Amino acid sequence: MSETYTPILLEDIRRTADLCVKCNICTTACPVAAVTDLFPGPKFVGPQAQRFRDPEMPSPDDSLDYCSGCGVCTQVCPHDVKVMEINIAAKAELRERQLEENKLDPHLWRNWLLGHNEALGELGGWFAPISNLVMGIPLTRTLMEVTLGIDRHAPFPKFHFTKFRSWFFGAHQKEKAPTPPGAPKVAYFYGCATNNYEPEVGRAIVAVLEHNGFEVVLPEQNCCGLPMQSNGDFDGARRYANANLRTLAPYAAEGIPIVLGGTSCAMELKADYQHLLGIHTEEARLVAENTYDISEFLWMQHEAGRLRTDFARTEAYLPYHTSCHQKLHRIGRPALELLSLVPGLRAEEMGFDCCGITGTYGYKHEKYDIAYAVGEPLFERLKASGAEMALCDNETCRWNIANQSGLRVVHTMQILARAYGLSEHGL
Amino acid sequence: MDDVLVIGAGPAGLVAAWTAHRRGARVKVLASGIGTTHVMPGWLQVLNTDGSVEAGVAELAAQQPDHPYALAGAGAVQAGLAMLREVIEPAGLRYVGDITGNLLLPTALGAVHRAAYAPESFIAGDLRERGAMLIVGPDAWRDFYPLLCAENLARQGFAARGMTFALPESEAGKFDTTPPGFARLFERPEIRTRVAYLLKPHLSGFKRVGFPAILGLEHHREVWEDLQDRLGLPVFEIPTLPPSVPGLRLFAAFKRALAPAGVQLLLDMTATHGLIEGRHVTGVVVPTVTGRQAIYQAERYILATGGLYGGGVASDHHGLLREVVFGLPVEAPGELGDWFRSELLGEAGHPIHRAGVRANHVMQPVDADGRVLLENVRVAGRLLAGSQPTLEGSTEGVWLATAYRAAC
Repeated sequence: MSETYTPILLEDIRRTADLCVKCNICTTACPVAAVTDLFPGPKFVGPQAQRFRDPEMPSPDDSLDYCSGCGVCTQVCPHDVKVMEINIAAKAELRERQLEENKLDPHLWRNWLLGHNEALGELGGWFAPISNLVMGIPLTRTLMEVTLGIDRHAPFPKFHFTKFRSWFFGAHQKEKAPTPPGAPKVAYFYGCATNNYEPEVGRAIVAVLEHNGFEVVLPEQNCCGLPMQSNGDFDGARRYANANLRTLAPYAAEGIPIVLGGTSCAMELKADYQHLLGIHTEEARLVAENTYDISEFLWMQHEAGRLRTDFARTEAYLPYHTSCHQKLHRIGRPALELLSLVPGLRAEEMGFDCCGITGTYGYKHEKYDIAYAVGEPLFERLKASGAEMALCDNETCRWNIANQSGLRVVHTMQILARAYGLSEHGL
Repeated sequence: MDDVLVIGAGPAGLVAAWTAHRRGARVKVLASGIGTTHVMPGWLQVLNTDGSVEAGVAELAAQQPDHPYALAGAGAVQAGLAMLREVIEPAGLRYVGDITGNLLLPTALGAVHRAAYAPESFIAGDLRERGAMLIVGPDAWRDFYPLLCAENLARQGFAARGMTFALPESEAGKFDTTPPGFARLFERPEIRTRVAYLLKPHLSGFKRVGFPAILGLEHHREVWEDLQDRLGLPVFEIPTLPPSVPGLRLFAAFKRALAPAGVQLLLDMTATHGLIEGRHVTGVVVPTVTGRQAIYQAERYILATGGLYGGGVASDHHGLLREVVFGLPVEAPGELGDWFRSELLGEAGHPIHRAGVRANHVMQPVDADGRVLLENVRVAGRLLAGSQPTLEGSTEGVWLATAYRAAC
């Protein structure tokens, strides 16, 4: 481990364990502890166990593997303890020990695979029709469950042969209206999911930005690193992080805003590179300061009087789920604010903390039922809402909610693109 | 821009938010985290008195014109309670009681507490009734000792006996041993069947059965009624150590009511400071996770950030007390040395508990001479100066009355 990764003492999230007064408010709010006895709650494995963690000693409590990393604990804590972050850091130590004990543990291989979903999407895309066919065979999923522990019911998105990036540099460059001279630039970090599985989300974001007079540029990029980070592979996550920081920092240095559609990937760039992965470089700081959630960015434009509001009347009721990781941005609910600008549209926040899937957590066979139980009240509420479509701005949440509720679930920007009359790019 | 921005998501902030919403305002709530709901016992104390609570409040207001009750005006407690009831009754939660006299309710240690209102599930524990009580609880739980509770009640002349029952589920390795963990167990019908079966042979001679306040969360009413049916006796709950299950029920009811009402309840959103022009707040700053100084604006700001314990007031080693968002002056009797006076919870009161922000009769913050400091700010709840809640037994009453007044 190089010196760069030694957390600066005052910025070390583990230090915040000392702010804990043991009120257990986090435990009461933990969606996982509420549905299983396998996880005693964030306070016990977080700030409490932290006092007994020593780099040279085994972790005092393996049950922290059942922490989903949703971060509700961090949000409800009235004393500013970074509970989830403490747990994620401890998970990385736990994984290192497990690797030492049994390198052949299939769960570690499964977690490795889930951590590499960028490569999976890339590979699957090359053979898109075949890979979708194979993934659609129940036997495939059963085998995956038995051998790797990837639950057969977890939602797998469809691979796409044409990646978002290829569309952008190919078809889009030919079709798009000429960029007005002096148009401000926006760097778009689309992430693996948009590139491989949901290019329509990327197209909607590009359409909305260009409609508002921005020139969209696509920096070189790779996976944000979150899947590795949440599976305890901090070294792997840092490799991804550093590669992204190298290509993104020049944009940030020029003051070009970096926007993301995925709320979890955005947390990596905004905070986790520094505070969890311990990358305390000027590059990391610069990138974080210039990174915005797409709705956050557009709402800032609106507040500055720069957002176009030529929305067509859209009579619709759309239930909205705020992803758990979006709440960690501390930006309020800019998507709801934007949607309120569309005449006729009524978007209602569902008010649930988490849909359960939290990235790759709900894909794991031993955690699938827990994830389902966490999200069940949301799914039931959506089924009862009478709506056919719902909104959520994070990828795996979207797939999970669609899979479990039967509703179509889209990104806010797909709705905005349509309301702007840009639907050929969006929906 | 919103009409009203409430800062703080404790009981006062939540009641103020609902009240403002009901008066037609577009409302947002910003808070550092979850507030006092999770540590409150569940009952609503208005005033410690053996006589009429209403008359006592009027008398207190007449004697102390700076007291929050005097500022909020007559009827504010009941008006605040009406707002609370609007939110919680659809969730099956009812508060019972009367402003004319106090209930006498047992604590977990068997002390006697006065409260004007209490959850319906507390009422059978009213010690003004003389019926013998069986106080029960899970054995091997470190947070509630039925025998200790009963023994202390008996010493004071109340007929009470304690017994424990086995609850093996609570001894599983990773069981959440906080009160909500137990409350979730009681949501399971088979647990209630077993507990009732264990208790049934021991009920003869008793008129009522007291449990720690762990009788269900989301389906509390069903859980409580089911246990009464199975035991054939009135069942009552006794507040436990935090986290408070009755408080969690309230918070959940607010969460459920606010979202469809379009009121955003935003946690992890610490307002670090206000933007002030003259005597007018033009915005509050809430840094995002990247440190961007995001500004939230509204016509009016309701400050319900709590007192010294809730985080609304900060102190430093120079003996300075400061209101944390707008830097309002904090009135505190005595000096630094007095804050460390012994008997923090003594019957004579303690200077530090008087610390707070002064306000006028519409809850605008004022200076020592009564001049309005910030015109579009209202102060609610524990942040207000002028009361000694633990001593007066006015904690929840002050929340309700001032939250209501601040939102009007």
